[in-house]
Amino acid sequence: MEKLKAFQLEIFNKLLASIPEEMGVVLRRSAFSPNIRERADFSCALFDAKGELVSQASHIPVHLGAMPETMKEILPLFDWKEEDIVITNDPFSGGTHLPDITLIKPFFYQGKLLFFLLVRAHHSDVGGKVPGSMGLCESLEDEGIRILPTYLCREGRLNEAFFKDFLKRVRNPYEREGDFRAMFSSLERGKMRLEELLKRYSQETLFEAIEALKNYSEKAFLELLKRMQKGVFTFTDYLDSDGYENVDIPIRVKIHLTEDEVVADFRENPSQVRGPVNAPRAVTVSASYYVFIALLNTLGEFPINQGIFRRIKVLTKPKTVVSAEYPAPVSAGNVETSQRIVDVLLGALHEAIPELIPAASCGSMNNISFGNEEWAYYETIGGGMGARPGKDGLSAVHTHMTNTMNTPIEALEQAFPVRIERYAIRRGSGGEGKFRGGDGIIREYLFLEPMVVSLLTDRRRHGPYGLKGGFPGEPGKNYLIKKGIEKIELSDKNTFKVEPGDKVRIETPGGGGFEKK
Amino acid sequence: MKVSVDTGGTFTDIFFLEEGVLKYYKVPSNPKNPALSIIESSKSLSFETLVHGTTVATNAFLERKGGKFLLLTTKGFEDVIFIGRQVRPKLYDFFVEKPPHFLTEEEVLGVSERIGPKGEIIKPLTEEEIKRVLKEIEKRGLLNIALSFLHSYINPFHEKLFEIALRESFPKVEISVSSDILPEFREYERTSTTAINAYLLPVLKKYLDTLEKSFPEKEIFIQQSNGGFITLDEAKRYAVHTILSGPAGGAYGGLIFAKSFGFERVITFDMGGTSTDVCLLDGALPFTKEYQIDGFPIGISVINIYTVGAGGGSIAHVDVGGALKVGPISAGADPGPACYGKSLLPTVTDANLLLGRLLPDKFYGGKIRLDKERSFRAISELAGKIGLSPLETALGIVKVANTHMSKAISKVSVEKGFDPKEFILLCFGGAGGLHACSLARELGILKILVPKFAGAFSAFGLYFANYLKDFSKSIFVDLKDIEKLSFYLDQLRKMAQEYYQKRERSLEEFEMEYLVDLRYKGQGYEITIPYTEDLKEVFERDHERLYGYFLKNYPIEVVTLRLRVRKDTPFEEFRLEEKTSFFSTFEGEVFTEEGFKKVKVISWEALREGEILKGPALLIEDFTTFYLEEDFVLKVLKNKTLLVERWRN
Repeated sequence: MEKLKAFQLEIFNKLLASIPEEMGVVLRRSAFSPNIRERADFSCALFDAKGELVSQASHIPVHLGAMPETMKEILPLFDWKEEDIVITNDPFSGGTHLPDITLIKPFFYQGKLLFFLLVRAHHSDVGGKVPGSMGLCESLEDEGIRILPTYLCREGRLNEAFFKDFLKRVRNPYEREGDFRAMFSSLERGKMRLEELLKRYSQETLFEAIEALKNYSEKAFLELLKRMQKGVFTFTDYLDSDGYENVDIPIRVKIHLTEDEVVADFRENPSQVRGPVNAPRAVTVSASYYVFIALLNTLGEFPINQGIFRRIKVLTKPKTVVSAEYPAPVSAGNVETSQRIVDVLLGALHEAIPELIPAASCGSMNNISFGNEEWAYYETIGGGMGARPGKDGLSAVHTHMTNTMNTPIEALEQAFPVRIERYAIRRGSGGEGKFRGGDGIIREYLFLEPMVVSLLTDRRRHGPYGLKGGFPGEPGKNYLIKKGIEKIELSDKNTFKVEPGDKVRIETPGGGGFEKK
Repeated sequence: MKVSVDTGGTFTDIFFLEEGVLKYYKVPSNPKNPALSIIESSKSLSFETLVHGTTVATNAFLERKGGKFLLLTTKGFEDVIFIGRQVRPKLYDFFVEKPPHFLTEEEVLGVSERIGPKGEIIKPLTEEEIKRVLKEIEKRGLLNIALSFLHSYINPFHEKLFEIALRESFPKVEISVSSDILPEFREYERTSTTAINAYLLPVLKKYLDTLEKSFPEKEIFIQQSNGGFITLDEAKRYAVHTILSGPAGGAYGGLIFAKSFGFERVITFDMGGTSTDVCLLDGALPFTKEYQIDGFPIGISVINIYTVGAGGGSIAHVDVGGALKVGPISAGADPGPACYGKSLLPTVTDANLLLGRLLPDKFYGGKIRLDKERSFRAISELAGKIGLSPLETALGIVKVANTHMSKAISKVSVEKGFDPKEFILLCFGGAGGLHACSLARELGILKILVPKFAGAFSAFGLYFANYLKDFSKSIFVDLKDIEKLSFYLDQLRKMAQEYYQKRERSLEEFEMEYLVDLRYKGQGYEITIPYTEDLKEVFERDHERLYGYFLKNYPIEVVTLRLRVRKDTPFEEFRLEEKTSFFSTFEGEVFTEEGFKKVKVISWEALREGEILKGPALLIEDFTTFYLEEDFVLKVLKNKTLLVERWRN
C-alpha cells in the first residue's frame, strides 16, 4: 500500500466511484426511451490515460469487462483532442451487440490528457431488419447499423452528416435523439466532476491514489485465490440452438487456478454459428470478470478496477461462438451466450470452492422486442435464481449478467399498443433440493395492432442445472396464442408477425436446486 | 400552551415555549410503549396542543410488526407486489437476499376487472364478482383491506365501487385505496405505498388511540414525512405518511431556524448515533417521490432527506485488502462504543474521545462518564493491523467517517446541480458538531450555523410545523392543452373540497398551493414546479440546471397535478433559559494532523451574544459538543446560536 495511508484509500475510492455513479443518474433521469429510463440498461465508467479502468457504475455486469475491451481497442485509433466524442457500437471493437452504443470522451486538464469518460447505453432500435434490432438474423448487416469507431464530435463540433444519417436509418429517431442528448449530459457531468477533483487534489496525489487503489483490489483478489483449490477444472453446458437449427451448441471452459492468477481457457468451443448467439470476445471476458468479482465480494467490498483484471486471463480462439468475428450476427451473444458462459465457469469452480458456488440460475434474459417501421420496444424478463449453499434461490429476478428493471405495465401501456394480460411468478418452476431454486416469471402480452415480434430466449430445452444432487430448474416455455384460442408452442428464438388479438406468453426458467433433499 | 414531542430510538425530546422562554428536556424512550415516555414526561405540564413526531410506523415496518391485511388487486397481477422491479438488490453477490416481505401470497386476492391506459373500461367489475370477493373476505374474517387496481390513477371507478361495497357489507372495515393514497402511475410503486399503509394502519391506530385516551380534551397533531402535520384522525387513516415523521421535523426546523437568521439556502446535517441525515433547502423544503424504506418504495411526496449509515456509533474495521472502513454496522446504544464500558468496538465516538475532541467527564452534562482507556485499547488493536499509531488511526477513522458524510452532502447538492459553497451548513444532532468544520472545509462551505439546542432540534421543528395535506392526480396532458389542464385543476380542487366536507371543515380555512410534475413527452422522470403562468420557462430553466440542457420545441407533458393544503403556524420569538455553567473555561488538548494542539474548553452556557471566538476551541453543551477548528472563527448570535466561519484558506 505504498505511501497512501489506509484511510486515504477509502476516501479516494468513494470520490472516484461517485463520478460514474452520478453520470448514470443524469443519464437515467433525462433519457427518453423506457429501456434507459425505466429499465436502466446502461453503464458508465472512468478510465485513466493508459486506458485502464479506474472506476465504474455498472448496472449491467455484461458491460463490465466489455468497457475495458472497448477502451483498449479504441484508444490507439484516434488523435484525441479536447471536446472530442468518439462513438461506436462495433461488437468487434470491444462491443457487445449493436444496440449498445458507446460514447467516449477524453478529459484534458491544463492541456494534458488525463482520463477518458465512457457511457454505454442500450438503444431500443438501431435499424436493421427487425424492430428492436434484437431478432433472428443471419448477418450483422441484418441486425442493424454497425458504427465503426468514429468521431461523433470533433473538438466540440457535432459530426452532423453522420448523426443525421444515423437518425434517418433508425425506427424512432425522436427517441434516439433524446437518448443521445442524455448521454451527452452524462459525459458533461463527468467532466465537471473531474475538474472539481483536480482543483482539490494535485495530479500527483490523484494518480498515486489511483495506482494504490488498483494495487489494493489486486491484493484482495490474490487473497481470494489463496482460498481456492489449485488445479485445472472443466465444465460443459449447452445453448438450445442458434435459432435456425434445433441443435445443442456446447459451451466449454477449462479453468487453471494458481496462487497468483486465473486462466479461463475457452479455446475449445464451436466455430461461430449462423444465428445470433455468437458472443464477441468482450462478452466472454465480461462474464469471466463477473464471476470472479462476485466471488471476491464474499471477502468484502472492493473497488472494481484494472487491479483485479491483471490477474484474470481469458483465452479464446477467433471465429468461435465465444469470440465471434465479422460478419457473424451477435445480438443474443451478449444476452444469452453470456449467461451460459457464467454457468460453465460456475460449474467448473464448484470443484475448486464448493461452499461459494450456486446452482445454475435462469440462464436466459428472455428477450422480447416488438414494433413496426415507426417504433420499437424491447424488454427482458427475469427468472429463477439458482439455489445457493445454505439458501434458496430468489424468485422472479434478473440474475448474473443483467439486472435491468421491468417496465411498469402502466408505463408500457401508456406508450405502446400492447396490453399485458398477466404478470406472475411461475410457481413450482424452481428445481427441488435441500435448498430450492427460485421460480421463474409468466408474462403475457396481448397485441392491439399488427406488428413484428422477436423472441431471443434460451433454456427452453435444457433446464438450469442443480448441484450436489439438487434437481434442475424447469425449462422455459414460449407460446403464441392466435385469436385467443389456438395455442402454439414456439421455439427458443423466433421472429414473427402478429395480428390484433394475438397473444404471446413467456414462461421463464426456474433456478437449479442445491443438494439432495 | 403547545408542546412538541419527538420520539427517537434512545431519547424522547420534549420542547415548548413558556412565556417566550424556550424549554426542552430529554427522557429515555420506551421502545415497547412509546406513549408511556410522553405521558410520564408531560405529566407536570399543562398544555392544550401536542405536535408529535413518531417512529412507531417506521419501527413497525423495519421490524415487520405491522398488522395483517388483504391486498385486492386486478386478477392476473397478484404477484406485482412480490416481483417488484424484478431486480436483485446487489449485482456482484451470489448470496444476495431481498428484504423480507411484509405480505404473503395467501394475503393477495385477484379481482376480475380491467381498466385501460386511457381510463377506458376493458373488463367491467360486475356485481357477481364483488359478491364473490366479499364472501371470500368474510371467510377470512380480516377487515383491513388494501385496494390497488391497474390504471386506477386515471380512472378510480372500480376502486370506488369496491370501496362502497366493502363499507356497506362491513361497516367496521379499514380500507386503504390506491387512488386515494397515491393516484399516480407505476403500479408497483402505487401498490407498495397502499399496501404499506394498510400494514402500518392497525399499529399506528392503536398507538394513537392510546395517546388520545391518555390526553383527553387535548388537540393532537402528528408530523408527516412531508414536513407538515395532520390531525390525529387523518393520521389514523394515512399511516404511511408518518414514515419519516421525526427527521422531517428536523428538516423543517432547519428551514425556519436558518430563515430567522436571514439564511435561505441551507444544508442540514443531523448526525446521530447510528446514522446521519442530510437535507438541502433552497429556500424551501425539497421533495422526492422515490423514497424507499427497507427496499420497498413509498411513492408519496416526502422530504428528500438522504440518510447514510455513519454516526457516532459506527464501527471501524480493516478489510482483507488493508483499507480502513467505517460502518455501516453500528455499536448502537447497547453494547455501545468501547468507551461506554461494555464492548471493545472501536467507533467514531471512541476516535473522537481519543483525539481529545470529546471529554470523558463532560458527556451528557457530566452524568455519563466515558472510559478513554477502553477506547485506546479498541483503537490500538486496529492500529496494529495497519501499521499506524493509535492516534493516527483515530484520525483516520474520523476522516473516513467524514468521507461518508461529505458524500451524503454531495448526493443532495452537487448531484442535483447545487454548489455547496452557496449554502450554510446547519449542524445539529448529538455528534454533528465534532465533524462540522472538517466537512465545511472539505466541501468548500463557508458558514456553519449551530443552535444551542442542537440535541433537541427535531422537536423544535415540530413545534413550529404547519398543518399540511397533499392531494394529487396523474393526468398525462400536453402543457399546451390549457382547457384540459384547467378542467383537471378544478377536479383536484373538488377532490380536496369533498375531503374536507366529509370532515365537516371547509377548504376556505386553508392556504392552497398548486404544483405540477412536468417532463418532455417520452421521458420517464418528472420535475415538480409550483404552478405559474410561465410553466414552460420555469421547466426549461430547471431542466437545464439538472441535466445541462433543454429542448426548444419538444412537447412538454403534465404528468401529475398536485394541491397542497396548508394552515400555517406563526413563528414566535423566543429566548433561552438562563442556566449556570457546570465548569469554568480551561485549557485542553486535541490531536490533529500537526500533532497535539492546545484548545480552550468552554461551557456553551458561558457564551454571550456578540462574543467572537477564534479556534481552536471545544464548546460543551449538555447534549452536544462543537469542535471549532483552528482555521475557523465563531460569533455568538441570538440565543447562543453559533455562526462559524472559515477565516483562512
